[in-house]
Amino acid sequence: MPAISVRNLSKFYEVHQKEPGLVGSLKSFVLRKSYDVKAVDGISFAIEIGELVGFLGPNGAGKTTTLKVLSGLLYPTGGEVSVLGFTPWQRQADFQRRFALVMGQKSQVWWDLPPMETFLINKEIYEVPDARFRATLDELVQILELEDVINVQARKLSLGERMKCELLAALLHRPQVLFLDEPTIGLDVVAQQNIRNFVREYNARYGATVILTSHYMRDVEALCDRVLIIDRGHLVFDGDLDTVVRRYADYKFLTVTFETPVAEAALAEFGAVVSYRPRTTTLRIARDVVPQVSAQLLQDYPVLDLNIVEPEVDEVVRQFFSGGQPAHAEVAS
Amino acid sequence: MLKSLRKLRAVFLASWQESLIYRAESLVWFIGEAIIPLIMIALWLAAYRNVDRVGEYTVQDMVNYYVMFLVLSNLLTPHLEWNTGGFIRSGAFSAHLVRPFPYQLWQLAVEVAFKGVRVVFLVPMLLLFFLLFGQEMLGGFALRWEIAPILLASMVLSFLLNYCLKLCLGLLAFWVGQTEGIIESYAVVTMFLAGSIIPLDLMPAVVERMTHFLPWRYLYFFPVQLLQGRLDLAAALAGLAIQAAWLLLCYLFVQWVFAAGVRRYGAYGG
Repeated sequence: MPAISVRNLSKFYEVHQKEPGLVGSLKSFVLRKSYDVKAVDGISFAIEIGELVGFLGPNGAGKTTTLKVLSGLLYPTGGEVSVLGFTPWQRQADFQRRFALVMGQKSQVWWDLPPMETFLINKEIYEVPDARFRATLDELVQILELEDVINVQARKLSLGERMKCELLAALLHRPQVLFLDEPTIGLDVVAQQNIRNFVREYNARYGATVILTSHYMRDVEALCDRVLIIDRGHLVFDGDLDTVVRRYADYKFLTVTFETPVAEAALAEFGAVVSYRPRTTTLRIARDVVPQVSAQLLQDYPVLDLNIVEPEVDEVVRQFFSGGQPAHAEVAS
Repeated sequence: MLKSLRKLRAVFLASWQESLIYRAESLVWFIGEAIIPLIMIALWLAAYRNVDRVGEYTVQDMVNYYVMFLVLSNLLTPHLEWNTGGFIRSGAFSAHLVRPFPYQLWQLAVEVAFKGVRVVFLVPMLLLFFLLFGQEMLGGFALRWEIAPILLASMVLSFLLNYCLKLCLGLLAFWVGQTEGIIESYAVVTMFLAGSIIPLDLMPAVVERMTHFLPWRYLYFFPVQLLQGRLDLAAALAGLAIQAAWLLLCYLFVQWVFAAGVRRYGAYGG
């Protein structure tokens, strides 16, 4: 049985519309116009136990709404959802003790007290036995390097430290399912890396099922073999990340450094010029003609250095959402 | 049951620590609440220069009334309506909804803990009142021993009844964008119908009769009546029964409001 199964999930919100200005306000005071926003519209997927899956999509795509339905925060408009055999929005305590939701923009750690106090509360709320609490706490404190932090008032911690404490607080009861909504938002590169390493470690060590949403492509790239791409409430892709890149980015970047300046017009014949300086230029070349173009360049011009790079996943996904016609259309053949 | 108590205790202990951090803010609130009774006492002292009695009240009864009202309203009034509304609007309510412990119990532990600080302020305040009008203040007490357990029970019921009413106010945020106006209006209505300004039995007869059919009479006025020995055993027990009935009604209502509100919850933000 999969850990999570979702069939035909939809969630519509009623939204009130108001014309701008005072007159608009008066009109809307008397007669409200409202319409439905289809935040999630007929999504289906299944996630096996122990999988680490990324939700990708632009703002307002429906990622967070889906996560909120899975955590029991929202009642869906339609569809069937099962998480560990439970229906989330019935919010049974047995279910709630088995999962955790971490939201990068929301804090459950008590602001005015040291994080340790939050941990002690969670120990009781989640009915964690003393010995297991100690063991889990020691282990997580060590992995997250929080030894010096857990007894300092939470408001005095850095954002990165606080986020680690959020994770720790959410994981003390060793949830079998973990929902991470933008866990690295606002963090610096090092802190992001730490959180990422930790999530992978937790997933491996406890065999937990993890769903991650993030704006940072790096998070998803580093952690998830499988991604679900959601756009305007629909599931538009479900598969591994490599497939996304191969399917939607059949081009590579070629950066060439010349001994003497070369005119832009001359280089444009090989492919789309992404950035041009007389001596160093980056071209976008269709994947299947990269060898020929490279050979031609080496033959025709005084090349000092030539570098072939895969496009960033980030860029691929951006193109995916901006109409799905990747750049190869622009590349000269 | 034991597990629930352990959970309540954990939240209580953390909240108690937090309340100590906010002691300055608590003091400001406390002083604000002490102003009205202070003014009312000054007014009444002037009025009593020419009369011995107003209604059933001697000057001692009157001073005692306001001081006891202040003590009880401080001890028995939780203030969860602001936080609850704020949590719902900001989406912080989500953290409460995913937790295997109901918000209604969680916040109860928080509110009880925050009452602890109020006791710390009440003691010096009572001393001050005593220095100002010592004789008058003590003269009004007439608590009989057989009434004492009823007084204690009525104080517990009052706190819980207050809690349910204020929770309802906070939960309005599920439907209404801004609850501040409603909360303020509620506070003003309570001030009159609970007897903060004038003892209810000095109100016009129509209003006084009406207050028998509303919950606010049983929050502070009823226990003060017990303290002043104005009710015999039968009347005291009857009052307690009505208080319990109001509590049951409000409890059922708030559970219903909670369930309906959560269905509407948009889990805004993030």
